[in-house]
Amino acid sequence: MSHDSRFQASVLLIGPPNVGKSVLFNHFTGMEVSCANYIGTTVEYSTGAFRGLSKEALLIDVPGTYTLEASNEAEKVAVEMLTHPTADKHEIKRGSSHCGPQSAYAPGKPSAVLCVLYAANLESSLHLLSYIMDYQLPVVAALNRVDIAKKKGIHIHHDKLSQILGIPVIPTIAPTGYGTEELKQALDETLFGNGQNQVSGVQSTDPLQRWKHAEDLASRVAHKDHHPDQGSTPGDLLTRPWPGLPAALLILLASFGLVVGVGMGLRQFILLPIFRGYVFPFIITAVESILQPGMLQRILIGDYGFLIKGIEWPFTLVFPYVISFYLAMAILEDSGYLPRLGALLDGIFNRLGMSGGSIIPLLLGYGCAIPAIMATRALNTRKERLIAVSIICLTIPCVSQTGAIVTLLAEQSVMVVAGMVLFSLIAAVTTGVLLEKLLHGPLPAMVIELPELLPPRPKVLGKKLAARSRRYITDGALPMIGAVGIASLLYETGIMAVFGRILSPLVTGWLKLPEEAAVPLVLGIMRRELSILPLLDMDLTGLQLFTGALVGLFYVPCIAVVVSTAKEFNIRTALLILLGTSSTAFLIGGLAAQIGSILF
Amino acid sequence: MKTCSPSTPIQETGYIHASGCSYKEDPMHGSRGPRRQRRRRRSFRDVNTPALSAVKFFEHMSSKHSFFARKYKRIFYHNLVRSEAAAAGLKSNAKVLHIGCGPMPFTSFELAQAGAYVTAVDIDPQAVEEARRAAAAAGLDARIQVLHMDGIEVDVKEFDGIWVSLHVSPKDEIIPRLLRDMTDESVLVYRNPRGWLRLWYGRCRQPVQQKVVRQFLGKESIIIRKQEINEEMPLSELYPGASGVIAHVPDHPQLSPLGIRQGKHITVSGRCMFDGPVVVSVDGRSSAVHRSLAQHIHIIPAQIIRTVQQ
Repeated sequence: MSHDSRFQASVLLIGPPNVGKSVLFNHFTGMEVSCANYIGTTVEYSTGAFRGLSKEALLIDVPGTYTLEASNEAEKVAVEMLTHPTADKHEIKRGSSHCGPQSAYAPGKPSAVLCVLYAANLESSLHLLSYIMDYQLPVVAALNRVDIAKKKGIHIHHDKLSQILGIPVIPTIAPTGYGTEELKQALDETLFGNGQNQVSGVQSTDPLQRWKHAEDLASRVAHKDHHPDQGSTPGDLLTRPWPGLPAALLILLASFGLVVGVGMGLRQFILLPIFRGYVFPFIITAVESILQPGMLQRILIGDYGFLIKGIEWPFTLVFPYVISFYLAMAILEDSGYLPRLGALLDGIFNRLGMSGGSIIPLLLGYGCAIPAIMATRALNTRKERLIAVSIICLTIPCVSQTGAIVTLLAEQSVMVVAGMVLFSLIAAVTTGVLLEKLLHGPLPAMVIELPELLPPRPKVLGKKLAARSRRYITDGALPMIGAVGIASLLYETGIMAVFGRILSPLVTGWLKLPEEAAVPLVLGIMRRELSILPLLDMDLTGLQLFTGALVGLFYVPCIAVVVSTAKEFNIRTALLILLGTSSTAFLIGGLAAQIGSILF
Repeated sequence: MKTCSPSTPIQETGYIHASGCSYKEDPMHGSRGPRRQRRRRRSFRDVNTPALSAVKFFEHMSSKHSFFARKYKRIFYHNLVRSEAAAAGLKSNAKVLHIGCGPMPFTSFELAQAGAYVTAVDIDPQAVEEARRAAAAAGLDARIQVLHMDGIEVDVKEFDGIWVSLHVSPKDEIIPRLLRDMTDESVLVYRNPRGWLRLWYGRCRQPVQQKVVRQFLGKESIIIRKQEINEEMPLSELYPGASGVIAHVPDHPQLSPLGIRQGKHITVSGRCMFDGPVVVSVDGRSSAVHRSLAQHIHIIPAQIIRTVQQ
């Protein structure tokens, strides 16, 4: 096996979880891999061209590991990469949460390892480093987050550490870029210079001995100014019922308010006026001047005209919520609050067959189900993953659905939106309780590190939002335009009417919706939000809107989600989830319609 | 015969003095003590009025009618003390100290009837006087000796069992002291409020091996046999603020990298609700450990630690 001809070296980026490897990776490659302040953000490796070295090199971001004993998925990946990386297996599993030119990587023994050490907790980082040094590869160490260490009163003599270990040790602060130039130079020297950097490992197999070694080393190079007081930090308080629970409620409500408020504001006051006032009149006059009235013109600018709806929906309806949701999520992610919320809710989640750590995939699911399903890999048991994925597919609307539902219902009243939220919460809890009973397996026993609480940096937030928006336009908006295009084709050719007649007993009889509401049900298979959006122009009554939104909420996850579920588990599971979600959707939607029609 | 229940702090001398341990005589208090003490006393009077008047009414009835007193004792004390004595493994003819007996020492009566020789003490002279008369009237004066003493002045080494009444305060300071001074063979029983009773009685939990017996009407009895106090105890039993040295860690790949290793100093900073995880910190690093796992992590507590007042 040899490297790709373009790359003359490959560098593995290894370190304990949540130490900032992905931040360094993004810095060196200019790519946009997900970063957050909790462990398990990177569940797959990513590769990218290392910029600024004297020759072409490939940088590989490996999921964070505490040891190299291959006790979980992430560690197995790391060990594999260190010894004889076989990329194929992981290549298939890659989802959209990480992007990068995967194909550029051809397996081979890595040329060097860039080990990221956590300055505020040197001991466990050095423990991991001792494993890495056993592989007899050239190693360069980045001593990351020296700012946090300093705040905690920890001073590290990195020169002394470098001397003892025989490798370059460079202090860095990844989010600000401090020390990254020196790191690059050291790496360049190690890779392409003639500096000798062949390290020898500890060669100890006894784990306790290894820890002892790391502890000794840490105490030799680091000293503490003062003992930080043992009193409770704000972070500790957030995990206690008081004030943690009210704080959690406030934080979640504030996030909900941020998502809905900013989203609606962006749509109403900025995007809608621009598109309705300038873009659409322009498109309509342009099309009308070129085409004669007829089927083709209707496909382009008619009822489902894909130049109208295909642009209006993705850009004025979903896009504002993409911005507002990922803004809220980025704040939550970077602050390090989410693991605390997980710890706080762990007791409740246990009753739903999950551990508190599931809160992260569940919240990610409000953005898009696919990265959420990928994130369930950080969970410990298969049962827990299955329950989390089922809840994500069934009850958690993705950001486009949220946009559609809010737009659909907010015209009625905000209380209806609150009703939907309540419905989805009840459904989530019910799903959890039921699956907990149905699936066999041990209760997940969670051990989770609670990272430092850090104030989110506006610059980092801005970067993240920009990356999200770009990714939304390529991965979200374009497929949506395509789907609307197909829909308008089906609609104008009369095929949709046939579907409508076939589904009419279900749609008009059971759900009490007009016959044309069969359209979104068919479209919804392609993209989740399309199960709701067409209802916008149907002049429905309040109850019909609620029924439609309810069906849309629980209705099948989109094709991409089904495919990634099948990849992560198997086809049978994916089909079961598909069946479960659609039958729940019709059952609950129908019940709401029937009971509602009796009441009102 | 004027009698009242031992759980009534209605004597003119005030709640704290009637309770067997007073602040002034206690050298264990830190400098923060007096202020906290005063605050607690005031809040006690504020919160307690409706409950107190109910208890007062029962006391009055007991003092007037011996039939009522018998029923009162039967309902509130018989099962309580019997279950405690059973859990404590109290032998007949054992020597028992009852701290904070009050003017109507039903607990002492029950213990005496169960075959123990009881020394009942209270700090309030009037209560002691009344308790003596009550014991004589019940025909138990051969087995019950009532002394006017502060609970902490008694030499606890002489006793096989020590009973501490619910209203004795401050338990957080008295209980660790008794645990320290009592002999290895003896057993300590004290009562904690649960539920709504927490509003007006101090609650105390010691980070040592203990049996907890749930009692009727919002109480629980804590039974600690000193020889069963292990050097080690499970992490899941420690309450926030407690700290110690890790003695044993089960084999779990995530624990050792988080610093949860043998010989490390560990501090419990929180316990999550609904049997959620225990939040600990080692070397300034926080992590949440599921309670089922925390049960298997053994800690040598740094000291007998004050625990939460809930």
